[in-house]
Amino acid sequence: MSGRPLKFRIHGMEVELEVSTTSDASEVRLDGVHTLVRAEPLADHLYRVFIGGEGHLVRYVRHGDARFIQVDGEAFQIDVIEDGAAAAAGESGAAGGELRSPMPGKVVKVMVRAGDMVEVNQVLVIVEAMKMENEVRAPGAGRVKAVHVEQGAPVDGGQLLVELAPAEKDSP
Amino acid sequence: MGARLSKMLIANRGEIAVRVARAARESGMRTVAVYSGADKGAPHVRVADEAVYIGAAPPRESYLNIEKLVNAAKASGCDCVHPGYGFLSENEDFAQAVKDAGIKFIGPEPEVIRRLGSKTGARAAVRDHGVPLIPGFDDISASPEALAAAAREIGLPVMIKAASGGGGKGMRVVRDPAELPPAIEAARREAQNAFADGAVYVEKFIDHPRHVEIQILADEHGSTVHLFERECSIQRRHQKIVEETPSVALTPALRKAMGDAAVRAAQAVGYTNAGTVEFILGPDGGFYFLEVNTRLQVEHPITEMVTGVDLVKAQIRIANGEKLWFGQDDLAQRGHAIECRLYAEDPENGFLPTPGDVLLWEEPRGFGVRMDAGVVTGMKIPVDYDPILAKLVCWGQDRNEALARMAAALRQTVILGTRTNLQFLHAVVTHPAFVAGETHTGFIPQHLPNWKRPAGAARGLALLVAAALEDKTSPASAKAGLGDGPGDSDRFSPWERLGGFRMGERT
Repeated sequence: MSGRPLKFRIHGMEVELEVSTTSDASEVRLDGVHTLVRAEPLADHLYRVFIGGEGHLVRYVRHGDARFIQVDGEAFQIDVIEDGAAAAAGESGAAGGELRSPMPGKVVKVMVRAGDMVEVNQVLVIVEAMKMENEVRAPGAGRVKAVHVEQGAPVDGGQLLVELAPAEKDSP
Repeated sequence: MGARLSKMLIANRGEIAVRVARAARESGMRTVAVYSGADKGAPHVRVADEAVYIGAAPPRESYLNIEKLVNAAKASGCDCVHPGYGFLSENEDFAQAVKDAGIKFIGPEPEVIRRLGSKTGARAAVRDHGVPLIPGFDDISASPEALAAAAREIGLPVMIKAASGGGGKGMRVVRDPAELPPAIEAARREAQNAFADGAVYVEKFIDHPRHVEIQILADEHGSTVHLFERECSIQRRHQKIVEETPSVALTPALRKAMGDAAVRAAQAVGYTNAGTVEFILGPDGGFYFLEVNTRLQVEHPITEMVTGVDLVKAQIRIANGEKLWFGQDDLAQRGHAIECRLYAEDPENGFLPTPGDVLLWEEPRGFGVRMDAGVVTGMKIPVDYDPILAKLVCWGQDRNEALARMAAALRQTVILGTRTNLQFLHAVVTHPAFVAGETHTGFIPQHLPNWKRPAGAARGLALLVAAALEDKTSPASAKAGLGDGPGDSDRFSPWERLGGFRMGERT
């Protein structure tokens, strides 16, 4: 039997599963292993889920693409990746000259403007949340291509702050 | 003595405002909450008889605004103000402004807060009263060269500290004489930036110290008692996250010596109401005065659990002018209590704050389990304030039972929607070194550096659960499921309302 493919992201890792559902149970293929799972709703956000015959109490909340799950005392966030959708750039940190907010918060200071030359480790933007300041620094020398936030603006975790073009001499 | 206090303004937010309101109500008082633009309908607003809006979300415009708070107290007819912890709780100008308005400030006198507010001032105040100090040099007018010379005389390693400091800012450990001048410069700069006061001092650095503090209560008639110790050695970035009492490091003789020293420190400055004398305890049993916190501590509940004394109610009775209703010999520690602070922060990402939506919140319950929380399902955790969400406090007949109860209660605590340190706390209290009582302020860097949650079986379990529920709860059926039961309209609120929200968008 061929099941419905599902793509999840958990802790930055993408995982593919396949689910075949019958009237009261599902068979899930994960890492080549087939497991029989069955879920009984108990109350709002509360389920008993049998995994291979063993029951687990599960708290479960959907929020957009996110699935928040607590099972056996541990909390997880699993994001559903829609078919064909490009992997969302949700992770913080530098990726190809894109500097993103390490946390949700407010921009307290923008230290550069588009066109500025910056050096490695130079502070570009300061984001503050809950009395804690976090400096977003240049991962390498380069030129500021664009600044996407202004002072005082609220930002989400992972939101694009600054785009950098690597310095000529550093280019391969 | 005038009429008994009858209406309290709680000049704070979050879990401590909720906790203070409970004590005020038990004491037969009416309560008034204050709230900022970020806290409309917040948990602390929901437990007070009245609530006054005091300004926009930034603390300076609301919870740190003395004028607005005093006006709120006057306008609502309050005869006393409880400051909680943080915000203006140790601000002598606030205490003075409240007093000048003819309202009772629940805490020590403004003059006492002022004297103890500067760490060097506090040391000077207790020095001649049999309170041991860390060998140090606190002439803050000294030149960097004189500071460096003094540091060499004390003997390395030394700690350079900001005179007006706190929270780890402006603190530096120096082990190498050559490092002294640049470290003094850097500490001055940091202190100037953080506290608008570049004054620093040096003191001997104790390796592998424990942070042990003594709770005191002093009435307005000259009686002072201590309520034993709290060990607060488990810290991240100089912030406490796990506290316990009794401390495994204290013998009865050491406990008595530290308690007596704390009482002498309090009496030296004419202290009244509740306060905490902080000590650093070396591996050799030497203890040294650090500072006095002139307010209720975050971790006060563990003292309540082992002594049976409700410290906030005691604060109210003392503010009412009552004489202490017990003596030192009437107090004893019974069993063991431990507290874990639940923070909206990500231990896997440098403990950075994680403000966000609380989609589901469930508290553990049971014998010996206490949750002091400022959280409800459906709330948004504001970015503007401290990341503390709740404190889980567990009591046991002995330390092992308290730890086991804590580990189980942490597992029963449910918070979904944003990352927290919940699982990290579990890793701390079940760590073999913690269980063995080998705690010191460097515990987390030593035993749990760069902690990551274990990948193993639990992750696979979570994925299978997500797959099982993905079709079971399509958005449509999830919605339909919400309608069954009382309070239908409310049930939609948590995520239906939050559903389309993204930070950065303003409606």
